[in-house]
Amino acid sequence: MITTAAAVQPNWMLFGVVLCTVLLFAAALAMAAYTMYLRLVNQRTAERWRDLERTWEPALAKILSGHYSPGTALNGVRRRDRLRFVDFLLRYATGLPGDDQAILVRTASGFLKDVAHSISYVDNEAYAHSIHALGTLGLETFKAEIVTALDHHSPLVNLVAARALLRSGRRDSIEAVLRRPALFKNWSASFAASMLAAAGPEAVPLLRQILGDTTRPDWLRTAVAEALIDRNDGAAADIAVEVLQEAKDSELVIATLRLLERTGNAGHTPVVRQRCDSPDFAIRANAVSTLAALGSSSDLHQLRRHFDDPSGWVAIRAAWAMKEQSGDEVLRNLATSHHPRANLALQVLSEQTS
Amino acid sequence: MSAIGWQVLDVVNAIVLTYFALLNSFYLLTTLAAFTSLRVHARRLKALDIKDLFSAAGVPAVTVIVPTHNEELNCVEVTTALLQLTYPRYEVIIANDGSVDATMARLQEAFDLVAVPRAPTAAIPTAEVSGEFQSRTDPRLWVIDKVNGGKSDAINAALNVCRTPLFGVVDSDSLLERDALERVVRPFIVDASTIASGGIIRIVNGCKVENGKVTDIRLPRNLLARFQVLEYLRAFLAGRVGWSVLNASLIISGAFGVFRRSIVVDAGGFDRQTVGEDMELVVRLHRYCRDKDIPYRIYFVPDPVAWTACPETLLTFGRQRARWQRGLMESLWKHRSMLGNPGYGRIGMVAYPYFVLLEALGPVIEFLGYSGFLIAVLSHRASTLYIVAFLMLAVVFGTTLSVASVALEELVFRRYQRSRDLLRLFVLAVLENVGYRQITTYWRMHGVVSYFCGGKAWGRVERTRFRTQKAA
Repeated sequence: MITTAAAVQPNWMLFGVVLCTVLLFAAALAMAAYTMYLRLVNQRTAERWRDLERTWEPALAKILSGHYSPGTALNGVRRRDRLRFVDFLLRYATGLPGDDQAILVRTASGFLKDVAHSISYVDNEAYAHSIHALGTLGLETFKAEIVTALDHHSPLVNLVAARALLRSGRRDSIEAVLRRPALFKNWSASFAASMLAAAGPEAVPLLRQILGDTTRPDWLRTAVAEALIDRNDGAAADIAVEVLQEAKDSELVIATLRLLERTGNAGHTPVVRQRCDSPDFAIRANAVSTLAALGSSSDLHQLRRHFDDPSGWVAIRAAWAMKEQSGDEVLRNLATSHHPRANLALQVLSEQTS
Repeated sequence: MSAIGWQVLDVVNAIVLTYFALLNSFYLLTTLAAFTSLRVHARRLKALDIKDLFSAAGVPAVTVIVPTHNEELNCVEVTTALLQLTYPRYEVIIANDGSVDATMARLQEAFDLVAVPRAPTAAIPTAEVSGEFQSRTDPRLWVIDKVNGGKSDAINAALNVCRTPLFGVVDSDSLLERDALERVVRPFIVDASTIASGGIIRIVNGCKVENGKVTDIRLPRNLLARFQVLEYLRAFLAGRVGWSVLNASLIISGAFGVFRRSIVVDAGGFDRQTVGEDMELVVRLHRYCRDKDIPYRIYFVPDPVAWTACPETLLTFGRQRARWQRGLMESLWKHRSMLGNPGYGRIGMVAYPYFVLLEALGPVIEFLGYSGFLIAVLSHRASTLYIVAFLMLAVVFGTTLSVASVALEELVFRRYQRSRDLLRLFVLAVLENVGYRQITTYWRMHGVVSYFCGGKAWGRVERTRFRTQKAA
């Protein structure tokens, strides 16, 4: 190609190659120069932030200990550093006990208007960061902005806003999120559950209501059941029994069984025993675990039957369940027999747990 | 040479030019995509508090599987580091694949292993497992001792006893950062359709390692290792991020990836017949999910880091690159029905053709290009001006892409704190075009030849100890 082209139109091709080379060379030089410039700027900025934070840390300690009032913080921070100061406060926001948290929030209150004014609805990440700051340090004052963020098109913004509202533990904030169940749909069930569980005791009656409401989507009721497990809600056990009697969705059944395992009592075992013979192995496995928690040594016979289940998952749960129900003797007999799962019995007997 | 011969040479040159233009265009496209994506990603991390996400119960349990063969030098350090991860719910299975050195003895001594059988949860065929052990000092640690069967076989043996919904594969010479598992699992939490997620691999050569943690990040002294640092930056920051943005990732590095256990088991586990088991699995997962209409996503997450040692001698480096090339070709050939197949969407129509034409056949075309160039020069057929101009373009294009990768690194991660390391990377971006790329092409060509000749061996892998300092 080079040779043929050279004979036909040498100048255009050569010109093109040289032009590309020059442009790329210029681009490479510009990027290298920009990178070194960025390095210098970042180093200086990092040094500046380090110096600033060295002055903020003792000041914050004095505010938290009551030596300074929260309002004094506003005087010590330059206007151009205010957003940075909010980021600094955010670092401490989730680790402090209740009273200190309240002082931190009062300290931040003078700066949050700057955050609210800097909200960019176009830049999703910046918006999410602003909502994170407002939600953590100024939920009471900026609740309207945070609720608005629930309806933004960015899932990241929704997530941050929902978390802030749920964590507040306030009924109206929780209702604002639960009125938008579509928010939860793309999250994994465990993540949705952890979000709901973070809503605290105020949310629990609402969650119980949703769990028992057969008009709600199964995936939402599943997340709610998981959240109630995290909340250790004993009052949800009776609702769980009703759900177990009617639910068909396997994820919902499993979550409800796990809820009963955590919060139920011996009176709930009949409905659990029914699920032990489910055609779905995952339901059988969880039902066996629940029976171990709620049942008694009189269930050993049933658990022994499930040790022979076609599914290894059910068998291992049954083995653990027998150990829990003081069935060591049964397991020892199995371990020393020619049972195809003798090794499993030996594993459960020998295994240490962390 | 006859007239036909010159025409053939012209055709070869045309192919080489087209390859050059296509390859660098793809690199440019993925680099540009990576720029946007990484900036967004860095700001996203600022908006989300990772620890906050995991603070409530509900994170999925993970089994970290470490296939191990003759790792007596580093096995204790790597295992210790794995047991110090900040992830709340995980266990570690070391799959000792018939080591003939003191690997098992070192593990036994360091972790007080006791024989405890482990019931199978899957039945993927593997070589014989001779024993299962649990650590008395840390019950999260299990060791499976088995007859040598290869890396895939070792992973499958561990997969057969994995009882968590997710599992991760970490190379036995890799050090994970303490929060790496939290970060790489993040997609599984926020997107329920996630089936696989990979993190970034960085070169540990030259860095200080203290108690299983990389404490001082530096460029290695060895020149070959330095070139590989630059190459890894290009491959991961520009390449993998770019392909992830296009939703067409075909590779999750075998050194550090997390998968959904049920999908991988249903798809048959890792392929024992290929040396590129990491790529083969990801391609197969694409195929499996699309064939069965399972909604799925595969993510590359650029912030979780696994540190790994790279070869410092030409021979070991060459064997590695030949093996990677062989693995690539084996994987692509196995799933060749996906090539150009619209039924597989962007994978079949974009990613697959790219890997076949530009990566698999790349060394052949480059080799032909160098040969054609040499013939043209020696026969005085080509214009010197054109040759010089073309060579300059090739060098500058390659340099620009590498400089862009270094810029990405500085823009988002800033791991290399020393400014002189940054300057060295820029110099390497120029120098790698004269020597390093050609050596890589040679060994990749070796891999192509080996593939067609039916080569299967891994070759001898030299191990070096991590440069460790004891805590003060």
